[in-house]
Amino acid sequence: MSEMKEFIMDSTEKILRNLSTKEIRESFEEGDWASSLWDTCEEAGLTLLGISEEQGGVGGDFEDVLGVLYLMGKYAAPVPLLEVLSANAVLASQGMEFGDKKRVIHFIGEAELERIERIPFARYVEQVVVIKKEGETAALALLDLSEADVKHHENLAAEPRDSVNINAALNWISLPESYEEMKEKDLLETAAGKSAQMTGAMEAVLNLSVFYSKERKQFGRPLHKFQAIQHHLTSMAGEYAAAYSTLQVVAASYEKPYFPQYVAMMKTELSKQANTVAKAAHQLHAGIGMTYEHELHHFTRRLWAWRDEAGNETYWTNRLAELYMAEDHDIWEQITHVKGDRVHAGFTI
Amino acid sequence: MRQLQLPAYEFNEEENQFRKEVRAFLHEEREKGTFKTHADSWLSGYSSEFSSLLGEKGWVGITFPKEYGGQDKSYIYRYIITEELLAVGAPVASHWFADRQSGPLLLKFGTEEQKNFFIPQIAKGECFFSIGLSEPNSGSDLGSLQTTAEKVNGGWLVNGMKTWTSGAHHSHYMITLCRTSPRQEEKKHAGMSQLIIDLKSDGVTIRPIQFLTGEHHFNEVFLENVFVPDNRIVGEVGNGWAQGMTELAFERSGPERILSTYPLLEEAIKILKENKDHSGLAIIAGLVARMWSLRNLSIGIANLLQEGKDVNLAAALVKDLGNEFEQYVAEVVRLLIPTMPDKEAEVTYSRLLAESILHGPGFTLRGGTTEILRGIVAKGVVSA
Ligand SMILES: Cc1cc2nc3c(=O)[nH]c(=O)nc-3n(C[C@H](O)[C@H](O)[C@H](O)COP(=O)(O)OP(=O)(O)OC[C@H]3O[C@@H](n4cnc5c(N)ncnc54)[C@H](O)[C@@H]3O)c2cc1C
Repeated sequence: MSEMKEFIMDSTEKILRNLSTKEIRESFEEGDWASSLWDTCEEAGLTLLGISEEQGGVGGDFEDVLGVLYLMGKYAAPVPLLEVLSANAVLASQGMEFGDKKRVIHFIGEAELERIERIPFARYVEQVVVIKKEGETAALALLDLSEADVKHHENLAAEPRDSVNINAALNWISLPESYEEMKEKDLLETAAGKSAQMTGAMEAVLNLSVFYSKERKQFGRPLHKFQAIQHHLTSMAGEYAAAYSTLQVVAASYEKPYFPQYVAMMKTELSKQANTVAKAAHQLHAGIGMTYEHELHHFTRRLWAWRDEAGNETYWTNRLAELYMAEDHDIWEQITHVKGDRVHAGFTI
Repeated sequence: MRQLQLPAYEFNEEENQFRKEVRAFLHEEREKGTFKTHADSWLSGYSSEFSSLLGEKGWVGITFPKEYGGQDKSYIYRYIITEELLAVGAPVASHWFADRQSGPLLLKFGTEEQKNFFIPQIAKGECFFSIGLSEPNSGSDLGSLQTTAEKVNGGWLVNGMKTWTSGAHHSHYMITLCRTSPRQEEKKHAGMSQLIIDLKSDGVTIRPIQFLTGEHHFNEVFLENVFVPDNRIVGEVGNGWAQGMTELAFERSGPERILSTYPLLEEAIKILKENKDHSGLAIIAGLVARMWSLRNLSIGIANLLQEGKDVNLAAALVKDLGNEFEQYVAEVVRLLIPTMPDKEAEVTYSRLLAESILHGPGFTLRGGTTEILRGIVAKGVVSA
């Protein structure tokens, strides 16, 4: 870990420990925007992370971003950091103004839409950066939400995934980039970010489970003395350890040609194992874990919600299958990056 | 939970070049017919010719110091070799334990004489070791083992019996865990020692135990008044248990805990590709993602082992999850490409499937059962 990363991680964790508490998450679910948490994140520069200083960001690389998102998951932070970072990164790359408003991004394809759906935190952010396909390239418009008609919807974790009616005409700016490439880049980064959050949530679930297994006694013994419970603990520990190592590997691969396959495999695994972890933790906690009172559900509901966002197992394994179909594709070469007599250039998926 | 947070390791250019070299060699030898691909080849693929071929290349005991005939390379190099060998299902059982654990054990605890005598032969791929832990009445509970070594003039007299000893019929030596002082109820792991038993010694009888496939992999080893000279004790008398514990991370975290059925997976992919079976390949992609994820953890461990860190907890997890994965591969592919599994089949897929199914139950037993591993992990996380 770089010194810079260590510093960012430490300071972010401090913020989250104080401001992403169970109480704040609960009042968020009752409809209160976690303003002190968000403002502190902004002040700490987290919403500008991974964007170079020349472009108006605070510097840091994708590894730092994934590190921070991991912590966001570990504390189930009820704020759209991943989503806002995605929008800011796109605006920064276009030399447009960003950071002055809270924005999220949405890709709509070719259609002229009247309504866009599942917009993260639309009720709390100010604009949606809408990207559409215009021939081979893309066009961008800023949709103001102050006067838009926002309908409330939520994912399994009560995170806002609202729908928005587009009433006013949008001002489209043509971009030189290919729409597909922009969309793909955003999808990969979002899937990597979600995976980081899920890994963090897994750590939280494991920690809560270890704690409870020591605290709760039945038959005169703490739960962790029972072998069946030990199996649940091991299952969670194993999934967490594998996810953590994998996240580090993916973070280090950002600029590499194999980053897309890595993300596809990581999100596949995380989505699949989300329930391995959630199920074991609920079994271990039994009744108390099914209550609103206990905070386990802040993490398990997020695992269940996030496994379907940014592509679930079906989506990513189908994309990987397309890759495998290619004549010259070889799994072992893909896994090890060493192909025949040269180091593998990676695959586009 | 810090103990579970392993950093990434990225192979460097030199290591990638090395991997190419190993792979090219193995593909060439396979083409030549030097070996045939098998599942679980690290348990069942015996070939002393192939082991000495690898020894000639310097690929056995590659981590051993140069002065003892090794290459002084990192565990990452060993990782690359073992992984490439398993991926092609090469016959590596003969030298596996010597390379993986007996050599490193002797380098760590052995005397100069032992190192000079054993290590160069191991590195040549000509000296094979078996692991003598299990006994008829002591499996998971090794603290109860009964084989004893009694002090006599100039050495020790060993009596007892070892069982499930893989490869004893091929090996030259067996690292034998036995009692050198009587068992104490409170400290049942005290008073044990590791002895190097020459399997050709008087009083050693090796009897095959037929594997459920009818093949011969493991054995019963009877020890009747076997004389072991003083210079064949490993490390300290009475410290055998603690010494053995240092082998565990090597034993549990390697690619052989993930890749025992990899040849089957690869063969299945080949067929699905020929059949243009997109949905079958999508299911396979889930397996590949799992394999890759566990491999990331396993490589992270290899890297920390190099630095001498304690990675026992993570190593137990690789073994537990990896072994489940190895078994699961067969369960998934058998439904994607139905066939009658047959270990004598000409069709590679049917043969590898038969081998994977029939060897499968052993994966989660050998080297510590699932149940025992999970107990270890749970204790680790609860006290972390
Ligand atoms: C293919 C193969 C190769 C092998 N090679 C070698 C070798 O080379 N050298 C060697 O020394 N050994 C070898 N073994 C032996 C292996 O290490 C043992 O089989 C293993 O340690 C289990 O011991 P056991 O078979 O006596 O089962 P037992 O210990 O009797 O266990 C039976 C069942 O009870 C469970 N159990 C036992 N104790 C507990 C507990 N405390 N809590 C919960 N469940 C428990 C076990 O998990 C298992 O499910 C090999 C085994 C196999 C299958």
